[in-house]
Amino acid sequence: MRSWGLSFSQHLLRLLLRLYPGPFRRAYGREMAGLFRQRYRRALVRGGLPAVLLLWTRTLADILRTAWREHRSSCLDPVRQSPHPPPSPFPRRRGDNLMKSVLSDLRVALRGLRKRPGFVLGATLALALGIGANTAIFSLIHSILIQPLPYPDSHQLMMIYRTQGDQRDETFSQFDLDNFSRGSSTFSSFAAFHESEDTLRTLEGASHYVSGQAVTRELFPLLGVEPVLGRGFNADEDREGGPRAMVLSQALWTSLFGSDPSVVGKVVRYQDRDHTIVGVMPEGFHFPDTRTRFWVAVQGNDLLKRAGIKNPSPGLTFLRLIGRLRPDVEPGAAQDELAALNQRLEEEYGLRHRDIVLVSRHEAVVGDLGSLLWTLLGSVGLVLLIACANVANLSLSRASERRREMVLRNALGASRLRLVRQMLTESGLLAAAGAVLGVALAVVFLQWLTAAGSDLLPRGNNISLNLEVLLFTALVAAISTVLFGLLPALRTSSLDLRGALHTAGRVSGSVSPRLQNGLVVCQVALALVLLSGAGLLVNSFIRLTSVPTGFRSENLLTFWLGLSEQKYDEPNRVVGFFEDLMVRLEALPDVEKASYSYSLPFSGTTFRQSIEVEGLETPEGQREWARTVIIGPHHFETLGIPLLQGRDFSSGDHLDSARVAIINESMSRRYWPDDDPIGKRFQLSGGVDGSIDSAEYLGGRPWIRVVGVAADVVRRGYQEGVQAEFYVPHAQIPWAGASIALRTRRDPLDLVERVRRVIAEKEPAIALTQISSMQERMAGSVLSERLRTQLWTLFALLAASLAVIGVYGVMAFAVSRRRQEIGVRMALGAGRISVVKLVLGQGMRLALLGAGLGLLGALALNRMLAGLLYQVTPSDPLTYVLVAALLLAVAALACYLPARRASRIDPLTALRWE
Amino acid sequence: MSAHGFDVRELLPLKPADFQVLLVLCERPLHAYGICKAVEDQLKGQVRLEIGSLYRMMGRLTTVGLIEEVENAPASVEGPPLERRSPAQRRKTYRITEQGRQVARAEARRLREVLEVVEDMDLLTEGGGV
Repeated sequence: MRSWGLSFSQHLLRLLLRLYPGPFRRAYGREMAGLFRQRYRRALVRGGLPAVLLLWTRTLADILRTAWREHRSSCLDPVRQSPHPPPSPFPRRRGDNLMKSVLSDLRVALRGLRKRPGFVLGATLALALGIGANTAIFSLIHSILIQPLPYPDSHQLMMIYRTQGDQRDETFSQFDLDNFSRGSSTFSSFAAFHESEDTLRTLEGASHYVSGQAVTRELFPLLGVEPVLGRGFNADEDREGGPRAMVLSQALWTSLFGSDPSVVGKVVRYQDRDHTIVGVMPEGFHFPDTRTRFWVAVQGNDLLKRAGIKNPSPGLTFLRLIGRLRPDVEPGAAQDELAALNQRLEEEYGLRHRDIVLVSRHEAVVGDLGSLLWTLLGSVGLVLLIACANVANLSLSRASERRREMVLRNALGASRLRLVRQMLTESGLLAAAGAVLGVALAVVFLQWLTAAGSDLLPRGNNISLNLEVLLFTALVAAISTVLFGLLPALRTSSLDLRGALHTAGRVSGSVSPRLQNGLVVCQVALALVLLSGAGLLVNSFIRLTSVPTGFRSENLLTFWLGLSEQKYDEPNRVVGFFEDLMVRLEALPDVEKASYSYSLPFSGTTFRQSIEVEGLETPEGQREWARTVIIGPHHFETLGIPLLQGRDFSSGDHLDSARVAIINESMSRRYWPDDDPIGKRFQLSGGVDGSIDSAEYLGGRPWIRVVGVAADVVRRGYQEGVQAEFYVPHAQIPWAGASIALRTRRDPLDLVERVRRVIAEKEPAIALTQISSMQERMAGSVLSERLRTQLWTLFALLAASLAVIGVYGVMAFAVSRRRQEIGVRMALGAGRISVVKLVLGQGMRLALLGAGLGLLGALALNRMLAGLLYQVTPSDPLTYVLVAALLLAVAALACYLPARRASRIDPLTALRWE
Repeated sequence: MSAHGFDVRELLPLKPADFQVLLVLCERPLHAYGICKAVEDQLKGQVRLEIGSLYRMMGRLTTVGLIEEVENAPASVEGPPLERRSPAQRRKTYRITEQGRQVARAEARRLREVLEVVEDMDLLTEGGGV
């Protein structure tokens, strides 16, 4: 790539330099080319292809701008035309009149195009679709992958993770943070943060459930971003027991305080404590993600203390770590240093060994979106190729039409080069029109995309069509011009022009149909590649969303309620609150049943627990895992989950009674495949080193007796499927937060206001959050898969439509060209059906050839999609057969229309036709 | 008015990029790539001179006589010795003229005066100023 890329770039640059006035070019052209070459090499070494693309977009913008200015100033000040005695590396040529002759070409081209509105419309539309799709996807790539993060020297920012085998752990303890901060010489600083979500109340009484981050005071200086109002955290606020301070995001500052500039110093109540607002961060600052609305100080092990854990240990990890490398330190060296520090701590405290991995902040933010976007750019690239082939075919069809014009211009002295340039100018105009319309389409597309998936796309708020993207569009348009314009221009101008004069206008020297047929075969092949990819993704999506969930999802309203832990500090008060609330909610008209659970299906809040089953020997070093689901009364009834064996929880299962559980079928099959599980016992076996001991949260480790078996339910999402689970009654683990589920008799979202009123009557200070119907939650859980499938299918259908239009165009042209021949055949006795067969056969031969080549290409290329597919292999035969059949059927229709027209030709008229 | 018969004030204020180029050439003569790198290093990568803009600027500064091209690059300019360079490698080297130095000095003085006003207004300390 290095050498041909450089050589291509140099050629392109030399062409672009011709935009400057002659004297300027002669004085500096060679120097500029040399400087560009050095920059190209540096960009390639430092950042690979993205950096080269960025260099090109910047250089292109600069050349276009400065060439225009140089022309303007040399007109205003002719003395500047020759600033220096020119020892010219670019000898003077006739091309110095380039601007003048370009203008003349433009005038002629515009005149010519005005005469063929149908052709212009078709070509512009096809190009707009191709160029627009490329612009849209490139703008995503530019905003998400190429643009650096909005922090100074952002390449120095590293996220720190630990790994063991395939498992990655993103959390660390306070011990780790201190260990790294004290011992590292490769990092200039570290900062830690963890999520913090709760109800935030202003003194005026407004309550909002908001998501923020608890951060160490080093975070803002480390990122190099200062608040626009006030300040960040000081040392006092960061120590345990220090004053509580909060920094607001622009979004929260605007929504909660109406952008009040005197907000600094105001007090808000968060997690039952007063926090003083000390600063507001600038617009566009989102750390670690766009959901974050505020930042508070971590204050050491505050999180553990609130969870009731008095003695922090290196195994209790809850902090995520970010560090800034010192200038000129390689990440590899820094990783080795942290690994050594980590190992020392592990040995000191007898923890199991794990590796340290550094991931750049940019990579951590972008995740695996890069490969999807590059693949999408590949797919829209194919769409553009198909569009170009279409326009090239349209132009080739017109080649013989334009013969007379070319003959005349040639006779008047225009050289072949001039004719080619003239036709390329027309193509350039078409591409420019396509680009303008394409940019408009891209804007519409991006608006739809950001509305549909801005939360899914990292840096989604950064997506825009900026100058660099527009320059990419210009580059794509220029390449398209060459792709679809050059071939017809060369073919048309190479016809036997002189000979044509003597034929007095009869059709001769026409373009070979082989070329057009070849283009159609390519179009069908490329379209099949894209269509089969879309087919695989659609197939995978259908399989994913048809996994049975195990409960009734319709007419189910869900939301989250979190109680104040200070006010509801007694287990009985918590249980009493929820039970009373359910009674009030069930009293609402249109509510059939109400229940609550800490982990509703598709709610995202779940946790796995290691367990020990009575009488089951577990091999040394292995653990048994099951998911814990805390539920209130009537849970199974409300969600429609069948209880298969035993009993439901009852009022007799409370804090002081024996611990009980209802297990799901999977757990029953796993641990008691041949026995009746009712009455069997298991216990929680505590946390694993490296994670919080959740058994402490779950009331210690008494034996838990199985009292019932419920049907399996998909808990976290379709992809994860069903796992071993046990339900425990909320009365025995009375946590102060739960997702409420209401089974309704009508559209569940209609009831939200009434539900809100009921809750406000009972507890005015609570904010409802995450309000949605269960079906919305389920759709939301596959949003990224849906978006991916929709995008791919959209581009594939676009490609297929363009290809089919291409087939139609070529067949229609073939019929009109063979009109006389068909007339003769019919005059000699050929029937209509045989004419239809003739034309259809010719078209379908091309389509079949294209489909065959496309299948081979698809089998090779679709392997790239393997990671995105669910229960479908990239070579799934059914998908390929269906997709190929669909494409061929549409192609057959596209061939049939011209074939039918051919069969209706009147032999006498056709024989007279020229 | 300077001793060389031109009024430096006519050229002030300089465009920031022009001033920056004069500053790096005050230290030593450089070719274009060296100028770009020196400016980027001086401003810690905040400014990037693109090729078209750079050469337009060099043309302008040469025309008004603030810098000039050096026929034989001095030995300090990086790269192989001059006699061993191919024509393509013989890059133009630029040095600042005496007029250029005067203009750079005058611009620096002007900026210092601006800074003094800013400091008098106490704008640079947090919470200070108007």
